[in-house]
Amino acid sequence: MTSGPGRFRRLLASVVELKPGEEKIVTLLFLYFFLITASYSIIKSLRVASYLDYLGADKLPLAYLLTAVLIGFVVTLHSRVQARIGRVNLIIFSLAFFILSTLLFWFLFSFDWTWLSLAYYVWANIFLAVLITQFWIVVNDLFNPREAKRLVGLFGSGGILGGIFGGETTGLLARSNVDFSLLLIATGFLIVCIPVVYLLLGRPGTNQSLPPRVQPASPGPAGAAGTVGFRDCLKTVRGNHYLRLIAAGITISLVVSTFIDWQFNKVVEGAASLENKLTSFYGHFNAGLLILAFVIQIFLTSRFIQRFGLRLSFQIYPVVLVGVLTGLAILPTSLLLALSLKGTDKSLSYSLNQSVQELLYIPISPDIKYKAKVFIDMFLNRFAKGLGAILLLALLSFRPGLRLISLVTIFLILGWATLNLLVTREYTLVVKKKLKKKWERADKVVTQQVDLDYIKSVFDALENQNRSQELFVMDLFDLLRQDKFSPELKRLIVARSEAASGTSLGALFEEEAAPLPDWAWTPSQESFKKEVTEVLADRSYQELVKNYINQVLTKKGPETEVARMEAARLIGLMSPDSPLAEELGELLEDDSGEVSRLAMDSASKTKDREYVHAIIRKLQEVSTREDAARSLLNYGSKIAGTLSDYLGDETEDLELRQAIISVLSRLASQEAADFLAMELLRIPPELNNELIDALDRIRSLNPEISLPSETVRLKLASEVRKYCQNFLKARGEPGPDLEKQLADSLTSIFQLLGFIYHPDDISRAYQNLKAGTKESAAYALELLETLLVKADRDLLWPLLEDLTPSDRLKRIQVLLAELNKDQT
Amino acid sequence: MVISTREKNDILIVDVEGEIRRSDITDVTLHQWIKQQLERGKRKILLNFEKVDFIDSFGVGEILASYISTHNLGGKLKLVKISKKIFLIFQVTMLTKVLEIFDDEQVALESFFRE
Repeated sequence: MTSGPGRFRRLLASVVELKPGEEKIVTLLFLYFFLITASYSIIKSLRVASYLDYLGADKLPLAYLLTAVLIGFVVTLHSRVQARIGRVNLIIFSLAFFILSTLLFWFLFSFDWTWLSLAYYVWANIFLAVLITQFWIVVNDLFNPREAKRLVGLFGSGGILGGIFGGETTGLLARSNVDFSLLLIATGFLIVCIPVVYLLLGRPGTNQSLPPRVQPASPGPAGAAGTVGFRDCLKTVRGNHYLRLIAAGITISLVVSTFIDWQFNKVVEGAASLENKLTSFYGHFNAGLLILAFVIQIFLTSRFIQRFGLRLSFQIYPVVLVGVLTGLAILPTSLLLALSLKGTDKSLSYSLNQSVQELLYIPISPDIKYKAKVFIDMFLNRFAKGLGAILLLALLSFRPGLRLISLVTIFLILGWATLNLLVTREYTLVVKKKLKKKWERADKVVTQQVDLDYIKSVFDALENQNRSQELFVMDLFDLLRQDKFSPELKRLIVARSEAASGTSLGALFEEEAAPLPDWAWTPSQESFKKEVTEVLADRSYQELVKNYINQVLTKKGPETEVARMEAARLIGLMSPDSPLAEELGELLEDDSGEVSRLAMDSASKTKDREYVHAIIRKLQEVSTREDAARSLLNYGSKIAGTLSDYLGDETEDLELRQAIISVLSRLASQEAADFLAMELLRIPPELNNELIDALDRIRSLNPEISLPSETVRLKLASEVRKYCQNFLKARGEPGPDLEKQLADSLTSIFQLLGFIYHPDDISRAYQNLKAGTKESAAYALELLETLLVKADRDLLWPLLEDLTPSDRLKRIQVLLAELNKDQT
Repeated sequence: MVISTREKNDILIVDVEGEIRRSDITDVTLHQWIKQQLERGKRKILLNFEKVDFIDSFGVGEILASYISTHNLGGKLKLVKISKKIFLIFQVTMLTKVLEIFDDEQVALESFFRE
């Protein structure tokens, strides 16, 4: 038999995707929102009805203006009290204040003062601004964007259901046009709200119910309250581009809402059929459109936002309004269209639009968010209504008619939709800022910070210092020629030679080492470089050396190894057209690794392609691999095609092909990337990870290098398929090998994504998913959701989303079936 | 070159002995050996060079390749007890800008914990 809590959980889970342990928090939030909106809905119905009854629709702009002015004071007061007593206390304090003031209005309305309805109107607006803002601040405290998107449909519907309940209560219980005894019911809802807030947020000062990441800000230090005020909040919004965009969008949307509100009221006021039934009409109408909002919120909002993302979701509301307004521009007095307009406005505004709008705040850092939210939700909301009222009054002074107002409203909506687009783009940047990169590709760091050629030259020179005076001097001359013969290196060489002769550093350098040649101390070394270069270029000298080298090469034994090394080194210092270069072919094939590596270096300096194949062969041996790679790199991208031929040749040794992948990646050019990308779909499994890693290296070093997205996506699908297969295998026969393969696959998948999207964004997301907290992993997914196109998201989400094991299994099985189908 | 290992918490201490040079390549080079450890999931590696007498340009390449492979996987590779003469060369060639080098093993281990 199913237990009550189990049934309740299943009920919730049928509406939203609920994770274990989320039932309590979502239920309490649902109740919290329900109670404040149920209460507000009653207050609002009375607000409009009493105002129209006592003062009439034409005086509505006055109420808007007065609200805008007074709300500035509320922002200051709210910010200061929050800084002094903390958010939980503030919420309780606010609820208590509104309970008492509701009772006070109930009492004062018995005196039937005409202008009391104006005070009541303004107070009701402040009620809404304060309590709803506080509710959404709590939501921002509790959830990351992923959780909020998933759950907003459910807890957000609590607010709408509260609106329906309050509206229906008003409609059913109102005994007259304006029945203020309903305020007592609103008070009751607010009283029940207090224990709900206690259960949700914990006793003030303890905050036991909240996860550690969302502890509300504690009261500020003494005196801090004085620094938090309206100006500070305004400055926060003005100083932040993202917040400015949110603020601008909200301002225009509320100006639009004011226009729509006026249009609607004007049409309703003129409808004779509603005379003397205003309270009842508003109660029922509000409840009716809230049922629509409720259905949208509970069944569509979360699903829509999760499926289509914030960007598209944020455009639905303005687009639908434009459609209805176009109809109203054609038939300006149509009650049906006016009802549709208001219905669209409120149903989407309370559901999808409000949810998206609130989600936009979640990635903002708390210190900025709370100031901004209080300013925007409380002050700017009202200010925008006031601005709307001014614009409306200005427009009405021209007696424009409803048609023109509809057209002006459409124009405003277009501006608003543009801002929505901009703010959702900026959202990606804000989410990205939340994610710290945990590590950089080390190749990038090494390339940026050290000169690998210089390191090699220095180590070779120091080794040759003990081996041969001639080799040593040639190394130094080569460094001098490249302007790399630094004073530090000179000092090091002197120290070595002095230590070896026992004059200074004792046992630091125990081997015999050649001293620094005299020319190294010459203040002007340019003339020395010129002289040596001239000698090296001299034909007679070259002939002489050629004869010497030929003699050396006739006796290839250990006793001439150093002489052959000197010969190989010397050729590299000469011009490429020197006749000595002819000897390089033989030196490259020398049995001595030392000789052949120096020959490779010299051959690469000649840039003669004749030697490329011989050098490529040297990639096969571990001892010569790095030197061969460096020599090939000296040739530059012009040999990328030759390297690619070897890479694509299936008969070639795998180790050689692997080394070629590495060389191409170190070339890091567009050509090298193109050749590597060509292999993506036909590379053998043994080289798969190396190839993807090589391309990742190139993209991380130079994100401007592009790769063919169609090929990359095919490869991506193949890697995801492999991942799914291994995932299913690992369930049957778990083991470290399969786990490793899964981890490798995931790495490759992200690297492939980095070939289509910006590699920095992708590696940021990957690192936080792999090595971040639950919170940063959620932001990583959020970043991916904003970056990836739907097809890529669909491919990756079953692998990445925070799912229960059984859900993941199901989704991976479905995905694998689809991928297998695509393959066939 | 002879390699032996010890482990402290999740840090792999690699005691290297002998010379790291191209003319003295054993079955497995230092970089290949480090890659094997990375395959086994090791991510914090401390190379103890107390008994390393000589490193040539090949050896430096091996150290840098090991460093790159480790750090690309989000790991850390550090060096300890490197001889004064090798350290001087590392300084001149700016390798000390990239590689984290410690005199004392305990200090090196603590640096891993701090991260």
